Amino acid sequence: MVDLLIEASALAFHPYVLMYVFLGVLLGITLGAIPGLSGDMAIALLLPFVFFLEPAMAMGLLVGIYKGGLFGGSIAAISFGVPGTPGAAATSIDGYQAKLKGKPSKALHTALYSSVIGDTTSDLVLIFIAVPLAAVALTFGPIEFFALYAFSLILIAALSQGMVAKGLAVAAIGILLAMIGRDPITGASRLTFGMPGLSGGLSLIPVLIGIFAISEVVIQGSKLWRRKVDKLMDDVAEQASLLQGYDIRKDKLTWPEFKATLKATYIGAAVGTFIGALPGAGQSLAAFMSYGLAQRFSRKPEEFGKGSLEGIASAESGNSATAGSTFIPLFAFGIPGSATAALFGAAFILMGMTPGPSLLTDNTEIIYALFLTLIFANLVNLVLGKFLLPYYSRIAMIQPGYMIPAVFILAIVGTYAANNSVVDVWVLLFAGVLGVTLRLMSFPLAPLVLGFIIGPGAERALRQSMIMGGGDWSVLITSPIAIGFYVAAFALILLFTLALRAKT
Amino acid sequence: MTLPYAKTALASAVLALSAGAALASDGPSLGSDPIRIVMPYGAGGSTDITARIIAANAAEHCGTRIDVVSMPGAGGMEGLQFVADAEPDGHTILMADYSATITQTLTEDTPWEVEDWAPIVHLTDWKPTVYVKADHDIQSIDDWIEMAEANPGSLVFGHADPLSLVHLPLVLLEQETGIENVHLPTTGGGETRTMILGGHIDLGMTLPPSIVSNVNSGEVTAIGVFADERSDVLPDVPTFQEAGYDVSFEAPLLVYTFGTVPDEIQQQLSECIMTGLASDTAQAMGQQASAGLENVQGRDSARAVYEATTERVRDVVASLDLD
Repeated sequence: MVDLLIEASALAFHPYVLMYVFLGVLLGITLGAIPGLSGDMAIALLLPFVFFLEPAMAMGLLVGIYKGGLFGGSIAAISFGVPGTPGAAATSIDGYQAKLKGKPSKALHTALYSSVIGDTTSDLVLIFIAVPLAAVALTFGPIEFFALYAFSLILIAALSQGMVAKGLAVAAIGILLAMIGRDPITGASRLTFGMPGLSGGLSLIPVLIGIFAISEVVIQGSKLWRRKVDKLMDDVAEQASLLQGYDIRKDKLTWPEFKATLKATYIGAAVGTFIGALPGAGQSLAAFMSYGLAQRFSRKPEEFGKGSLEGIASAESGNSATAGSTFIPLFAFGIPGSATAALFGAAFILMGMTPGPSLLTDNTEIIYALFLTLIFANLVNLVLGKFLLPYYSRIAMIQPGYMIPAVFILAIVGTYAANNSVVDVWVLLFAGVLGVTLRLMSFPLAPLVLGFIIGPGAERALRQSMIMGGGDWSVLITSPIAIGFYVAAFALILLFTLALRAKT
Repeated sequence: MTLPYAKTALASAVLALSAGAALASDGPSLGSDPIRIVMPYGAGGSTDITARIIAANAAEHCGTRIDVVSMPGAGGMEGLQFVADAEPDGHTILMADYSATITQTLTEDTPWEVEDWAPIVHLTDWKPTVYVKADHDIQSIDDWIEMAEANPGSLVFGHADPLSLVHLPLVLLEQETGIENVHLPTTGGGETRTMILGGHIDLGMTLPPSIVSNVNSGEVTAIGVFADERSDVLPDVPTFQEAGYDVSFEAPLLVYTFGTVPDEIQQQLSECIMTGLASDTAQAMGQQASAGLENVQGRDSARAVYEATTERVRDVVASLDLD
């Protein structure tokens, strides 16, 4: 295998290929940073050109865009509390809080380093143990998927310490919102109140950006609601004074701080790599699950949600660690496990390579060159990110008076651009109102988003299991993997309830 | 200093405009605004690849840029709505299989009728194919029918959305043979394949190009094709007709305009897309993607196959007890 990698390096490290990787990463970071736009859109637009490029160059460009986009999403999440991509939703929880405390540079650097570490781990797994991991991923059928979804929901909902009931309640709201649209089994419309625009359900991007970003914009900008948001306005005033005196030299990520985030980064890398290899599970789930587990195993779990660098590191590493492993089902069985993998699959097809078990054996050299490019793109991401972050940190500290309208407009334009849908813009605004309401009643927002993201998958998996089991609930505990997840969920709850009791 | 240049530019613009007007005077015609191909599916699938091959090759023949717009919203209905609402000038066209334009229109409350869509290019016919895991007891059409007759309702069959082009053939076969299977809807071909390979379900249906690689590597066996003739990419797999079951349900992939677009523009679009697809580059791209673009047909064929498919879907839907 190593000699194959050396052979492929002539192809992978051709100057033009390196140039395309560089271009791709730059484009990806920029697009990822704009809410609503993502690397996926750029990849879709560039698909026909893939046919005219040398495969190694085309791969370099697409890989660069993909990796840059994964990290870029965290820039807007940290700077403005707007997840630039769905995967960055978990990053925004602590990232934005850290920025509000005047530490955008620390937060952004943590995100960059954890993103690169998570991503590299995942790439190495893809290169060296793709086949065994793919076999494990196949053992996940509907029954196992439902157990996984249930486990992650319990994990996240129970996160918000002292607010478990509220956490579960908003998670339920998220699942309810996700049920609008088409019934996944019969295809019938439901909960649409007769509005044809809702018959396909609410899209993820407007809900996500609405809940996080629009609610933030409204809270910061609203004078009419001043009395109600008095407490929040005090924070804004405090923050404004912070912005005045922002000195980037005082906001450097120190070595001990970096080292303290490493455990969270490793948890994220492991969880992200595994979740990424499961077809259909997705980056957002990986990020939230990493975040939940990192908090459970942290020495300072109370800082999570208040600007914890560990929180940022786990979420961002979990999100980026799906990057390499999402290709595992594609390479092993030709199954695109995510939207990005589907686009890469299409690119392979246009280059005359059929995704699937014969992909590697038929195109050994180019696939190994792709492996090298995956790793190299992480380096470019690191260097380019390092160079750009000081500028992004300063942008993050621009006065809200200028920032709020800009974020608002970007959110609307980006939402429209994601699906070319006006309905989505309305959903965005309504989600914003919902976000403001929930925040005023001090509900945590993360469980809602997770409920919304995994609701459809969980429902589908549950109902598929029931169909396969002929309507008998006991089908849910016929799989050892599923039983394992249920036991782990109960153990976690028990463990931390006891730990909480011991503390008080 | 800049004024004379501005004047020249203006003059040439006026000239160009009048020339355009002169050309256009003998009937409605495509202008130079970009054309949008709306595709009611997500990016990266077979339809998307084909749409992008058209965009890359037909632009020079249609005289303007072609953009591909993916509008999967509202189960694809948003894309159809967008095309239906657009100015009827031929600059917003639709590319879809029959489930969007025919099945959904017949089974749901839509603001248009099946006849409101004007098919202008018949790109290819997809052949729905049934497959199983290579070590499954079922390895042929006859195995399947026998086992299903021996234990009705015991075999789980994964298909994409209900009534989609990889589900209707199963419904027809069950009506023809009287066998019963458990119908399991999935998110699409990828999820069906995962469940088959993981041994979670017994049978699945998909389109040949997506399983060729798995068939060749011996992971899955394709047991039968719902088509009049075998698939080019899976030449060893028999059709259901060969096995003695008279069920065939090919799925045409068509380009449409909305019916209100003038006839001349429909003709012009149909011709420029076909010319573009006949080019060497387009054919080479189609070959690599197994898109089946070797025998692209114009409006007559598109209309005929659209009408025939509508009749068949109408029959199946009528025979189902939909509420």
